[in-house]
Amino acid sequence: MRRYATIMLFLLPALAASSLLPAQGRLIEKKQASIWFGVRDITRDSLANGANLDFLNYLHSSDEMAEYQYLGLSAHLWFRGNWEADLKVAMYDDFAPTSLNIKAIWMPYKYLGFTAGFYSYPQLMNEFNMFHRISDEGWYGDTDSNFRQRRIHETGIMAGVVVPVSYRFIHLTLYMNGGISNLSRFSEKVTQKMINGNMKREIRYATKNSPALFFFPEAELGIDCCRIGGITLGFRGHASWYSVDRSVDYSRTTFEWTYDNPEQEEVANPAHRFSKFEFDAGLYLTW
Amino acid sequence: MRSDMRLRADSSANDITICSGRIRRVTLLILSVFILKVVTSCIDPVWDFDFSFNKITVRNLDNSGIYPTETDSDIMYAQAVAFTVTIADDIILASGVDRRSNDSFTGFTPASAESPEPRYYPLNRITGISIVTLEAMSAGIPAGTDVTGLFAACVSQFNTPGFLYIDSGELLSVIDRDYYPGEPSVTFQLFCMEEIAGNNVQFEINITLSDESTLSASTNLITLIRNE
Repeated sequence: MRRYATIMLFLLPALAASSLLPAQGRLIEKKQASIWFGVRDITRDSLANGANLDFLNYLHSSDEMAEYQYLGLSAHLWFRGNWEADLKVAMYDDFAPTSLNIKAIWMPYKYLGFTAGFYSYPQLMNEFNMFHRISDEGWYGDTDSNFRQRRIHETGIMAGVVVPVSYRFIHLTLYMNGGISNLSRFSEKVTQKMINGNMKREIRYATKNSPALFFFPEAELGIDCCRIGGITLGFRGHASWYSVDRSVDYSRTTFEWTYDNPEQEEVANPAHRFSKFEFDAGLYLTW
Repeated sequence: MRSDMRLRADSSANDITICSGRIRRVTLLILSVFILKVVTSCIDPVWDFDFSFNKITVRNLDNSGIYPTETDSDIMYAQAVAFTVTIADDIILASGVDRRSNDSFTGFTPASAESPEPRYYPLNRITGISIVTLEAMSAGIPAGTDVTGLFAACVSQFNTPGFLYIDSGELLSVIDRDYYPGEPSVTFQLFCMEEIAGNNVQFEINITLSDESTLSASTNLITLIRNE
């Protein structure tokens, strides 16, 4: 019954709206589809090792320009009544569409609008067991000899302003977004054994929610190249910068010798400054 | 001429009919035998044996690394004193022992994709484990003390318990089983949780069985070394 009620809740307004559409013109006035290739560069604080494992020290980052490369698809819709929607989906080489940037845009003025949306992207956390291998003298810091890697998602909701500027065949759009995001929670386990000793211990981590405010400006440039019939082909470029201060706290459960009588601790870690810069370029079709 | 040809054609048709009838009967016979074989093979394979625990073996473990390995050396780190203990039936030979039962109702040998794993049912169950030190471990633990509680255990044969050990108090419930798959024996590892103060150590391991018998074995005299 609740399921029917939910369906009807969405269906009725949709049907009501659709009956009005023919009389008032097209719902979608203009559409744009794009394909692009981009790079993502990560810059993050790496704090000195303390008494506790700090997972944010192990986010994938390198001296190279771009830690990640991705292929993206996007759609931009111009609705009747100054409303627009922008949907960007990107994927790494696994072709899983895991990066999302979805925005609803309201344009009350020609050069100023407001946005609200959802943002999510994945990144890698590598070899966090190195903390134990370095810190725990007299122990085999992690008996798991595999390369320890975990994919984590940063997911948030955002709002902001948009400034679109067009001159002849050049279209520039600036977004100033901000919001609140969370790093996906995860559990990890490290098993240790004393060197030249029988003692073993198992350390289990369970991270907590880590909400943090982020700042996320974007700039998008489109250049119309040619027009065939009612379709315009153009080049596009997009750049963004994402900045957040975040700490990842967790509960740590330590078992020694046996799985009886574990010791549980709540650990609060210091905040890290984290930023990423993205640039992508590609083609678009507008009709 | 024409009637001759017709006669020959009729004869060939009869031959083909007789031949195809024979093939059908032979095929049917082979199929019947095959079905009979399949039906008689569809039994619960019983590969059970009875046995008695009558032998105990203790070997030294080198547990200085991540994983323990058996060793002939009688030198151990003072924090890594460990042994592996095997209790078994020294007499049983699986090929020479009758199965507990065989429910097959024909003389056919049951067919199976893989041989069923034998299950060994103990005639005498394990009822107790104790470890007694034959050397003084410290001033508070003189020779002759029952030190079972100072040992942790691992029974990798039954994937117990995971990465860590089990308490020696739980060991009995793990190794005393209704039956033992694969072989008429059970092996467990013992790890001393105390750093032993002396320079030598030796233990006696006693297994009490349900038929009132006791299996005992002593470790070698172990020389202890310490981390520098």
